[in-house]
Amino acid sequence: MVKTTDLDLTSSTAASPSFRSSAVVTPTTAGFADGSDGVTMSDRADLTKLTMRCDPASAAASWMAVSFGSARSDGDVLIVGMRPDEFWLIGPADGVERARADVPTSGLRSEVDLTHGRALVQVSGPRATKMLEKVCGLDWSENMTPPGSAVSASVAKVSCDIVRAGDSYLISCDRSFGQYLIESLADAAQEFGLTLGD
Amino acid sequence: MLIVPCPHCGPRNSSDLRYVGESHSRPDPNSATPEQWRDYLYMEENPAGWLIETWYCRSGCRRYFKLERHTGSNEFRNPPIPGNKKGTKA
Ligand SMILES: [Zn+2]
Repeated sequence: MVKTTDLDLTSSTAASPSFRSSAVVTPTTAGFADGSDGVTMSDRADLTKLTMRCDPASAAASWMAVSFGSARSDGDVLIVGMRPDEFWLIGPADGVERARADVPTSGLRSEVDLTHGRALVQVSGPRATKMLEKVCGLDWSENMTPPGSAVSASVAKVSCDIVRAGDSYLISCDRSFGQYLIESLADAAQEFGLTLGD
Repeated sequence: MLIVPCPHCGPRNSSDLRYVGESHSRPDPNSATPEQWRDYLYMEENPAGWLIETWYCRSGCRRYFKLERHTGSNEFRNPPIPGNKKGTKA
């Protein structure tokens, strides 16, 4: 069970984290003396999230250089092929703006800044995969969803977009579900030991 | 549990999708009679056998697509699979 000790998911990578989840979660070292082998969870909601929709055959799409279902990093910005015709740029505001300026402008495309519309939480650690398997029906073995995968699926019954980087996962959902999602993930992580990241 | 073969996401739990219903071709609005419209909008085949259906992948790729399902055995066949998310196998 998630206990009700008040603990915010402290500072994040963006310059001015002006908003964060109000979720109340409790770190635990249950099962692991120092918690280091468990799960680390960080609130990344304040990273800029820009979605671009364009024809997969367009110049903008080929600039992205990711296919549907995969992601790559370009400096401090993550470029994600989230849906067959939809790409996400995730990163600090200035990095995303710099990447956006590089995208070829020919052809039709739409851009929506989802920063304030989406919650974003990062879970990492050697047990993060085990934890995710408890709340998500997808096959998280490395041959099905290798690092660099981007998938959309239900996590704790919330429709989420997930990017995998090694043992680390970026999980995004509509912000109105964010508190529930973070508390659900924290609950799932209790048995492995939960550390709250920066 | 029903595993639905999404042409984009691969096999998914049916709770990740929305069942839209039987797939019927839309009559020409300029020439269809009221009876044809009523058939299109409200009447269903509801067979005990193979049926072409529309599904919506709401937690995955957010696409509509058609699949053929046996309503007795829940088996899917001839799924329209243009390549899964890795672009290789069905
Ligand atoms: Zn899908």
